[in-house]
Amino acid sequence: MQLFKLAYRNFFRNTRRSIISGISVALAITAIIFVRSYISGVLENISGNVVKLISGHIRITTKEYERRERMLPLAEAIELSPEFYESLPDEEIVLTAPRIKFGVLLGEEELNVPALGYAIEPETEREIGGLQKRLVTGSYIQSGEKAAILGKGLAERLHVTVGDTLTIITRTAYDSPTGLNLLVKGLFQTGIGGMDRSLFYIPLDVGQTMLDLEGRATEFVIILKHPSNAIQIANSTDPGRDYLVMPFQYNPLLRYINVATIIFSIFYLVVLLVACSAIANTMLMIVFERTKEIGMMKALGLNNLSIVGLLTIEAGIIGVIGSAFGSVFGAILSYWLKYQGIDISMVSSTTSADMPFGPIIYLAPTPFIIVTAFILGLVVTVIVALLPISRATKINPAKALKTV
Amino acid sequence: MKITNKSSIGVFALVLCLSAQNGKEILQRLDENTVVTTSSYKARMIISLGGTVREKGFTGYGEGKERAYMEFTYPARDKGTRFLKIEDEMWMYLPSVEKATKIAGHMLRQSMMGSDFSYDDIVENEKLIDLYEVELTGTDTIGEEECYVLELTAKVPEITYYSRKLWVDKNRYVTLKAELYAKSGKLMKEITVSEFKDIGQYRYPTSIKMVNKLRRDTYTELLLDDVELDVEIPDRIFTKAYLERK
Repeated sequence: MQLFKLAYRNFFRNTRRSIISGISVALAITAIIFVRSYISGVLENISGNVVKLISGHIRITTKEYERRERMLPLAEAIELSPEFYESLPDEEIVLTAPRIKFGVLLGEEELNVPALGYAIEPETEREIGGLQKRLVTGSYIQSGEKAAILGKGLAERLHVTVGDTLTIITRTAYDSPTGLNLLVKGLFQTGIGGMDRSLFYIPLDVGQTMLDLEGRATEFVIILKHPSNAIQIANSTDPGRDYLVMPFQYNPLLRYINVATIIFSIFYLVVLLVACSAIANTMLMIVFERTKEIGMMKALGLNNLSIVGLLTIEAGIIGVIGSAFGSVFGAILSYWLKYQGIDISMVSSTTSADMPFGPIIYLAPTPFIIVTAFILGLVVTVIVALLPISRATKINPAKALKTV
Repeated sequence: MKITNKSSIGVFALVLCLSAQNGKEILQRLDENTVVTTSSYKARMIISLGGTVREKGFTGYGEGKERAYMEFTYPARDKGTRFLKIEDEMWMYLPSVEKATKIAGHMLRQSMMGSDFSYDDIVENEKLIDLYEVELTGTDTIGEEECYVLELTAKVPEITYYSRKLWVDKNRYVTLKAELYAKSGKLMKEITVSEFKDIGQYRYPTSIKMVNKLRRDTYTELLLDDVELDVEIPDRIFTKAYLERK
């Protein structure tokens, strides 16, 4: 108890030193909370974009289509028959959206601009991907009209704008050349460079007629009430043995998340190391600064155990106060950026359509992140303080008293 | 021993020389039978893909190796689709687009209307002797016909098929079978010709089966009807205005 009192007094005896030490711990903890919340935000952003714009919670394709998806084999389409719809689990489904993905060549004089078209049900996709909200000019497409909405970057490449006619040339499911003149109704911007530079959307019925795919679609996307049930529901859905039912967790695109997790973990470790070394440095400074004082205490008869106890308690007080402040600052900053978001469109505008990343990262702090950061701050402060503290016990009182 | 060796080399060189000579002569005679000044025809393509068979009809005109025109007449979905080739450029007209669109160079090597033939295959009308080095490598029998086997290797840089192996009928100087290879040595296409028609000075193939070895379970038969060779074809046919006519 005496040691606690002594440690408490020591903490306030040199307030400047204590404040500096506390601030360095607090900054380290703030940085840790920010980085962990940012990493979670990035991962949620990628998986959110994959679900909204690409896979839904469950995606159904034919196995052959999945195998050769890069080639966009239209002939391997799903038959949207009553039997197909009957095979879907009604009770969990919020929305379903058939889509056709097709490659086209575009251009004014010569067909030399490759692009990716999606034939979609406009009303359903409005709900899923918020496509309408991403329009920067013009209006949204309606079923049955020979019209398109284009990525802003694609429109710029083709020198077209709202109201212009866009000629698309592609191939039907039977490989015959086909094409359409489409009215450019709107331009959208997702902030994901690859999508904005190469994607356009047309109504599903128009696409089905053009591509000789009446009553068919190349992929079928399902949005669930409870996304966490996607794997279980996918396993129990059986539209036929030629079909592949894939929950979003197994989507190959999410392999980027694994890569991103590794990269961010390295980044997080670096931040953690820097934070720990800052704390260790501060504690080392405290012990060296007090060599004479420790020598005096030893000369007065304080044993090594008491010295270790005293300094450890002092480190603990700095750890608790620094971590508490750091946790509060980190939480305020992260929760503010959870709603405000960080605009990374400068980076995401250069990414490919395969990497749906950005344009705004909303941090994803959780109480768990904050509590673990607090505990980490406290534990690290005490542990890293032990090394200089153990050196303090080896101080020769006579020599220590002679130090300046 | 020394003398024997020299003799062997001499005989071998002579054989090589003769085979090259014979190969060239055979190829020249083959070219004379198939490379025409102008052509006009009606054609049917029977496309078999994964067990599904579809038929497409078109009319075509060609002039030398520079100019060609094709217009699809059926089925309804493809009716009115037209192609115009002038030298190395090709335009396509789709009724749904109502204007001619230029096809990029690499697309000429892609499947034409879902068939095993590429655009280039259909309009090909160039002397093989100008494009390939030739070697007579032996003889073989196709059905009951005795054939020369020729191996051709490209001598020009920009060419769709780097090498070809031809089975040329010894009596009629027509190709009964051909294998077309990429530079890597991969077999890309296999052609068999089952019918010919004697038209003027030519012995022209009128039933050709093409198997694209890069696709699975597919073949296309090209049947030429009403073939007229070395006839006058109006210049206006080989124009963009004619391609885009309503």
